[in-house]
Amino acid sequence: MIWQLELALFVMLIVVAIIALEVDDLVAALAALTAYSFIAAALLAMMSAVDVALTEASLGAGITGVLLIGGISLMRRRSVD
Amino acid sequence: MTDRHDSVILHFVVRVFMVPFIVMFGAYVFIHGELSPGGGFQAGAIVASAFVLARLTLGTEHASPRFPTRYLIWLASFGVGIYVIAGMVPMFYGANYLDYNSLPTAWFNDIAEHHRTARAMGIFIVEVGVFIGVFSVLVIMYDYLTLRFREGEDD
Amino acid sequence: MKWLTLAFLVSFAGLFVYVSADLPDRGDPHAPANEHLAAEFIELTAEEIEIPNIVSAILADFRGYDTLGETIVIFTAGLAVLLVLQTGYKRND
Repeated sequence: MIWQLELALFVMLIVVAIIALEVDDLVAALAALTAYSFIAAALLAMMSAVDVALTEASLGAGITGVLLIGGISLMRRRSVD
Repeated sequence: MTDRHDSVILHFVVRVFMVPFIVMFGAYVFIHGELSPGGGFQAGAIVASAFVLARLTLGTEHASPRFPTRYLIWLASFGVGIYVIAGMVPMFYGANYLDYNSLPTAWFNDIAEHHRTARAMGIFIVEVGVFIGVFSVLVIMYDYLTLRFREGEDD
Repeated sequence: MKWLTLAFLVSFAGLFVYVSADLPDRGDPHAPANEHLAAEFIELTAEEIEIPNIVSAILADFRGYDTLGETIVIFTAGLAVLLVLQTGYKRND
């Protein structure tokens, strides 16, 4: 559609994915993953796949973060890298 | 994570503004699932996120009397059961499994004076099942993931 | 070893970009993926189901078995979380 905006979103997607892989803190990685889901939802909406975008925005950017924080807080060992 | 935060502003904003509007948006997404993007899965996730927000801010003991944790698995089974039974009803009319064309929904057209095909009604019934199942499963996941942090658990 | 991995990944990404030039355009009705069933789904939704959202019609009607399996998968996931994390039963040790 607007290819400049789409290119910027793709670049942000890759940057946020690398941040989520490389950051030390698990909760910070989770926040980056949530941002990744939201950017992916925006990209899917620009590709006029609105149903998938709604699912990604509500599940991926909404409730998966909370559930994964619950899972992280259940773990005893922390990330060491 | 499941403590009750002692902030009046947080309680007011969450209870008066955020949770009712999120639930209403979920109901909109669900009911307009045949007209616009949406459907049972997305609406279930949105409504479940409203309930999880209430449990995060108000505390699980204060936010969960309407939907207690131990009854939610019955609700999830009920949602899946709606889907399975809606698929089995056409078999009594001689059709295949999940063939909504022979669902007995002509009486609804007479009451509502609005023409809907039987397959559209079947889609709506199935979406109700998916909505209830997804909503209760997501709230179950939150409740049981944070079960260890709650003190004085009664079930 | 790390540089070898990086070089391999970069060359793989370059291969993907090179191949993606031959992909059909987004939303092309004559793409091979859209040739067989998409037109039939669009026509049948307008004729027999009469709802505007074709995605809902495909998900819940034409592909009803898939959605049934998806719902059962989500239900099983919730059941697994409940069975693993519930604290109602004590261990006998």
